[in-house]
Amino acid sequence: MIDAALQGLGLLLSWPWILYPIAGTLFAMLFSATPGLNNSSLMALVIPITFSWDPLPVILLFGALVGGATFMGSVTAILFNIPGKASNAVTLLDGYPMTRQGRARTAISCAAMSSALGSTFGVFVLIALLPIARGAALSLGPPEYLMLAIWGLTLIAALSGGSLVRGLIMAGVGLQLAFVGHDPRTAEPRFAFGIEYLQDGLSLVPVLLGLFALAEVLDLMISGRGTLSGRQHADELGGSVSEGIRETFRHWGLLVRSSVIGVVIGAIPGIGGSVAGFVAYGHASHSAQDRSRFGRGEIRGVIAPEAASDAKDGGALLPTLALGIPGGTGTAMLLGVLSLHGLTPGRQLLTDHLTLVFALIWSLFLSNWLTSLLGLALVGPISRLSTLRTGRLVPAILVLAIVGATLYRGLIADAVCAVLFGVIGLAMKWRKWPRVPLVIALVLGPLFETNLHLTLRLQELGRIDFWSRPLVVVMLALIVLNLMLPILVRRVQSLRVLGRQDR
Amino acid sequence: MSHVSPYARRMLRASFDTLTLTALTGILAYQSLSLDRVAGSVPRTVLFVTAALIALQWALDLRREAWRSQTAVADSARDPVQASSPTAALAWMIGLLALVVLLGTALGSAIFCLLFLRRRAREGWWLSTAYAFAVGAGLVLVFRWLLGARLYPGWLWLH
Repeated sequence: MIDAALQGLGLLLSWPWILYPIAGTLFAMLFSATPGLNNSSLMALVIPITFSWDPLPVILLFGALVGGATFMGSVTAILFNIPGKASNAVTLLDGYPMTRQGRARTAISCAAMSSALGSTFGVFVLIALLPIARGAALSLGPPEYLMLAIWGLTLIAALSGGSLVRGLIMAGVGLQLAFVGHDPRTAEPRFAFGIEYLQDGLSLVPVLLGLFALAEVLDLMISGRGTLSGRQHADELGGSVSEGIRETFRHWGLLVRSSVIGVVIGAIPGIGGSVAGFVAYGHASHSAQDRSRFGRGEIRGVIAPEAASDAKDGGALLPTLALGIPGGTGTAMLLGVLSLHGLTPGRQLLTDHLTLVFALIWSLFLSNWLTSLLGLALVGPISRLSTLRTGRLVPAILVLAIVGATLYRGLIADAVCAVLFGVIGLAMKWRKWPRVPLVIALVLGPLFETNLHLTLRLQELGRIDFWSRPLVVVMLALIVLNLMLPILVRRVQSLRVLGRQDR
Repeated sequence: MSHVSPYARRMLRASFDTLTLTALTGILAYQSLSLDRVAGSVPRTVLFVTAALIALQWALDLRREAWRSQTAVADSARDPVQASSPTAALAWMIGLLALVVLLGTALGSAIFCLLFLRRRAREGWWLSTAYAFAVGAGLVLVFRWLLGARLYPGWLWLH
């Protein structure tokens, strides 16, 4: 394991491979610091470019994209009260008041340092837990993988969109889309409607480009904002970088506790960085003696969410790499990219390609530090990005998305498919239907179906007894818990409200 | 539609999403009938569960709509000026696709950028032309020369 870790580090630091995470980080920084765009859009746009590449540069690039540059979204949150992405939304609670007090540089440097240290914590926890996860992945059979796929789907459906039923419906629709093409056992065409394009199955790339890149850019166009942040000029920055760094180290206990929260929440599929940030913020305010300062420019309100949001990336990679269960959109795209390059997460990846896994982890580590250091150095020019005119950005992204879709297989039909999913993605965004369960079901569909068939066949042959496997029973209990918990929580909340009304 | 009561219209509007999903599930269910037992078993099971969930969501939507007051509906009615904007955005996206199909990736994208910047973003001729040229040349340079990818040549030049 240590050899593989060192080899992975050697690969990352060797020429020209070092350029890939650096380039990935720079692009991720640009996208994360641009309100209205996000890393998912960038990843969707980058996937088609990497088709002809070897797995190593792809892994290095996506290591930087999947979790890097989270901190950049906090720059716009702190400066303009506009979070770059959902996970940066908590930082603005205290970050923006600090800007208004003339302490923008202090807040940004504190966010940068907390983010870098939080991600370092997450990466080292991931490395420490990888041998355990590897052992677990080796001991799992088809029934356990089947239950894991169902568990992942129900968990993401329950946690990603607010409504459990809507999430489950989207997971069901995603699975149906995954079934388009041929049956894996009989090769009989399924749901192809006599259309030649659909006979090879629905490709992940145009679907991702449509649902995330095109839907977002359409929304940006329709929003009618003249500039990305709605402001014409960036304000002058006040405060000091050294003060922010000193403050981060002064609150090291909070930093560690928030990082632990981030790693634990990140390892649970479907929860994501915003929840990790809010939980860490809640912990910071509850554990403080002077709670009243939170929300009015308290530095601890910046440290806690930043450390948790970045530490969660290490945690999120654990189920993705070890079990093939993605935690969110970013890891789902990573899973898709790995499959496109013939790498199957789980036992195969953790035994045959362990060096690549470590290259990915080190790339994430490098990307987070690079983002923090560059972000600090370039905070002035980056803050001006959000005053970029929407009209100048939209055509470039539209062109990249359409061209990206056609590049994949050289088919114009893929671009048509991307446009179709762009419209569907926009409608889903407006009508509050979660997109993440659909994408994750599309990614997990083959894993679900193959393991379901294998389980049924092994059961028929008497090679396994499904119900006597302890992990299957545990997973089943977790699935029931996933489905029942939102209903129980709602019931308890309504009983509390009724109780208060009675009093 | 003039004889349809406002209540029924509201219910229909509330059911739009679930009706669309029901139609999709219905089409897939009809298709799955032609599959044999082995190939159709998993899709039919998933379809059955999805259909049940859609029915549940439909009931939830209708119940929520029934509780909503008439004023809330009037408030949520969309501004016709805003409503025209999504159509325009979609038209631009489809226009780009049409230009790429007809003229090819590089030329179609460049012309799209020129038109978009002039007509929608109201930019000047110099910036629009330079931007369009940069996009066209950039696509050829990065994708064709550096990455060796095949850019779509365009229907007009192929036929």
